[in-house]
Amino acid sequence: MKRALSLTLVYAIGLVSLGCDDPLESVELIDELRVLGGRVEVTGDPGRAAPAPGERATVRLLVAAAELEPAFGFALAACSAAPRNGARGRCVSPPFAEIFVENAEAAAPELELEVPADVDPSGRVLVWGVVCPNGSPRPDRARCDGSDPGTPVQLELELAHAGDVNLNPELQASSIAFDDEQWPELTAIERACTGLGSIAVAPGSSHTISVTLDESDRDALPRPTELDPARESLQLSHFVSAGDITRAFESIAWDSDELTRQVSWTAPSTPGLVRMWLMLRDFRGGGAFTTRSVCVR
Amino acid sequence: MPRRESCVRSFIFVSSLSAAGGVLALSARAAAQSASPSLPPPAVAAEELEFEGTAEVEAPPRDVTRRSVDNQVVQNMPGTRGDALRAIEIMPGVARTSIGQGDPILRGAAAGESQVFLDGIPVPFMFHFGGATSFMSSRLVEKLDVYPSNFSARYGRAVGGVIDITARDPRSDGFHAVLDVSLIDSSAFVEAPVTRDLSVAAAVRRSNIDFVFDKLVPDDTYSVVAAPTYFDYQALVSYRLDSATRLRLLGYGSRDALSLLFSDANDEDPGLAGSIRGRIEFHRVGLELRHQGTRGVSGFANVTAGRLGLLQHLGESEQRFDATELYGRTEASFDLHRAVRLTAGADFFGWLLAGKYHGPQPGGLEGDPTDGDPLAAQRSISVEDESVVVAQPAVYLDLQLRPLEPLLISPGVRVDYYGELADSSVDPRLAIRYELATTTALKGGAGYYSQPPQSWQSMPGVGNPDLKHFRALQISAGVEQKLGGGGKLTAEGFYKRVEDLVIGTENREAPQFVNTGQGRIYGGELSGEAHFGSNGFAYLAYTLSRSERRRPGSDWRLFDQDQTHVLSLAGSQGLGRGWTVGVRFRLVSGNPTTPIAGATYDVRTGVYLPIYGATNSRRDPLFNQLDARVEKQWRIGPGKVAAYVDVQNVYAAKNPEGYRYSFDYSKREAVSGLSLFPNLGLRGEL
Repeated sequence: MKRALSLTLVYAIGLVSLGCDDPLESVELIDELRVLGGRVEVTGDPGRAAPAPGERATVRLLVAAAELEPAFGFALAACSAAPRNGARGRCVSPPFAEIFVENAEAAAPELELEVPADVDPSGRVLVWGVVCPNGSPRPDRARCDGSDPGTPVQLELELAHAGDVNLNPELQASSIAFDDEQWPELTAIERACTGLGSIAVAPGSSHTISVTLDESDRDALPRPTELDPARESLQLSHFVSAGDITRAFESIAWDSDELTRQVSWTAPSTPGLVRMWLMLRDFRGGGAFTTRSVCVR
Repeated sequence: MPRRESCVRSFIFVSSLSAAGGVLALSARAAAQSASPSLPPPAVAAEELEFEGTAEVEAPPRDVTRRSVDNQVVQNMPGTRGDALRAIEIMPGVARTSIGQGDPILRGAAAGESQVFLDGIPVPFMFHFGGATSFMSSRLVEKLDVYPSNFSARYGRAVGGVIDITARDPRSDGFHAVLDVSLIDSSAFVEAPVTRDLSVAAAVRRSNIDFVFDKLVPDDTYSVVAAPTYFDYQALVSYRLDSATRLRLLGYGSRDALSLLFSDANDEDPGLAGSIRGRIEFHRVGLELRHQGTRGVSGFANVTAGRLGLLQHLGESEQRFDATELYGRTEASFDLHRAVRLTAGADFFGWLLAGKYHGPQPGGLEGDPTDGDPLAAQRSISVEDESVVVAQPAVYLDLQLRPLEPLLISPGVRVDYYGELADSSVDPRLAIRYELATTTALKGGAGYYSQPPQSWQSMPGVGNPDLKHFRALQISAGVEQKLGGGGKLTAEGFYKRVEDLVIGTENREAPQFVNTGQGRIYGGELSGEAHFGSNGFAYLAYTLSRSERRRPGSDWRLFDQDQTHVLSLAGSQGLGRGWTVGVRFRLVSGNPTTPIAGATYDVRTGVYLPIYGATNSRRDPLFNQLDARVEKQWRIGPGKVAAYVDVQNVYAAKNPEGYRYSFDYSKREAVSGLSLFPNLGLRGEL
């Protein structure tokens, strides 16, 4: 049904004739402030990503930047979402929660909300707004002041309802390894990365990063037909501030049993602190993220 | 970023250009019949001296415009690789389509709004893989007729135009065979008489691209499980019952298949991960009885049945359809008076379809840029139905009145019933032709043309069961001037207004599709052709047109493939000693495009969703391309051997066919179409 799925000889000819040029921009390389994901935690039950009507929850976005302490502003709001099949969310009522921050100073964009008790639990909540590098959001929450338009964001949340619980997947500290060694999270203090206890590697050297997920990270899903997936699919994303990583995205299909995923990373030729961001999502609003660092010297 | 990722992006981008490869593009449209009212004799080679007993008489035209190209021309047309059906690209009113964009665009109508027939029976698609090579051997094509608009009541269930391919009878002068091997594909054709009244022919073709495909793509892009392949075949048995009656059995089929395994998820759309598998095929057999009476009565009956199958698998999206097809038509013509001819006919189109679908809510209609949105960000639906019945009978009447010798008036009416919609349409049509002189004719016509939505658009769970047919008013007028030596000049103007078009709802919200779109198309065409002896020709075609669509409450906007100027020049000449050279040049306005003004980051899926500007408010640069063909033929005993090179895009013009974007849509670059491509081939004929 999808137009992109049409079978054409262009599949073959296109690859040959277009060539495989360098990309326009590397998705996995963080060289400016970007939003990489988010996580929703129900107040009092942080493992749950889907609040029920009347419950409170916190939406937190993962923001990454080349700088250790980037300055940015943001504005977020939450409303009841219109039913949709397309990709874009739309509000059907005025926002019931909102936040407007001109300068976040390294704090993660965060919105606390209380889902109105009279919302249909089979509906969804739309969180939307804009993140503004080096600037402030405009009152419409769609753009930023200044020349940089910022990054408009949207997150549509499912609500908890009978028979369908959406739990956050987790990135356990013990499940993340660098060259087969456990890779603890350390707070990066300075770019020179001296005396931090970070893993140290040589410039240009190659390494493996592996993440092992747990079966419990994939919630069971209602399955009205055999065509529907029996449980969630997951996506593991890798981003780096320097160096070359083999791929940004790892897809863990619902019927896949391969829960350990590995990518290769080549250190940059210049010394310095390199940070890596890992984001795990279940495509239903559940997510987990963490940051690691390594010292190149 | 490693080189590999970009390769995947290019791959996906180009694949997204293809518009009509799926079964969903196989609209549940019409069975209609194209049939010459006269009974042609068995095909005979030009050099054959044997005389047959039946004369071929061209019937008076029932359509305002019918454009045809003979087989000798199409086999020498540069840039077509000898593919008969690709020759329609030299005709006025035919827009340029890229490989993967599907069937031709006739006078500004979407590909799905026109219909392609083989011997009067609708075929699912005209080209393998949306435009690579036609589904039928050129050796079996007797003629190719294109009706860009204002066709007679014989055809229905289409608001655009009609392309009708007529298969020829096998030759009766002995055994003949052709073997053709080129870089793109290989084909074989045989024909022979069995008795004086019984003759047979068969053709088969297979693509060669899979033999080299895995050598051409980077190893780390994906694993090639099965490279793209296409295959088609035709088998024809013709039996002459008497001098006026013929029975034909035609079996034919086609299969396109592809299977790839991506090593990584795509940067812009992590939903594109895992495998891409696809297959579309059809297999049919049809029986036709045709009678050319001597007392002003002629007619035919045709019944064709077959199977259609489709599988598409993309990541977690999957689609499977299998359909049993049944087509039928009968038509009779009566000369009621020397100035009055009546044609009455009925046709039937039926599908019994079983299918499953899991994937994004289908949209993908013309003028909807969100069709390219990342799969990962769209909500999925699941539908399973084992018994979808599509039954569409129709009846029609055509009169041909000649109150004065030079004046022919052809009123007609067609009544269609769309069973699955409980809907019907009545379409009156009129064509008038006045012969100013033996070489000059004025012509014009007007009429209504109706088309049901594609069957999936009204399917519960996928689309809107309350959809109805949509309708077009078509008007055209022009002049034809015959020249010496078989040459001709024509000039025509046309106007079309389409109402109740099926369009997608905003954001694909329920009921997903509604009958509220409108279209208007207008323009003019000039064409000329000249023939130089038996082995030279020149064609010129120019079309100036504008095709627009709009939603309720919106301004008119350009149609996705509106092309203001379409200029084609083609020529070929035999040079003696077996040498033939030819060139074709095309200069065409670029297609409209929708600008991207920014992007929203979707936290749930991790992809950026483009923010679109005004739909089709910009246009790609002018397309220009020169093709050339050189062939050298040798006679060896009773046979011939030919070597040829058919070069597409001789000077490697970089014609943008679209754009690829960075992951956040902040940067873009043009993606050029096919670069210089020489197709080398060797052909043996007996």
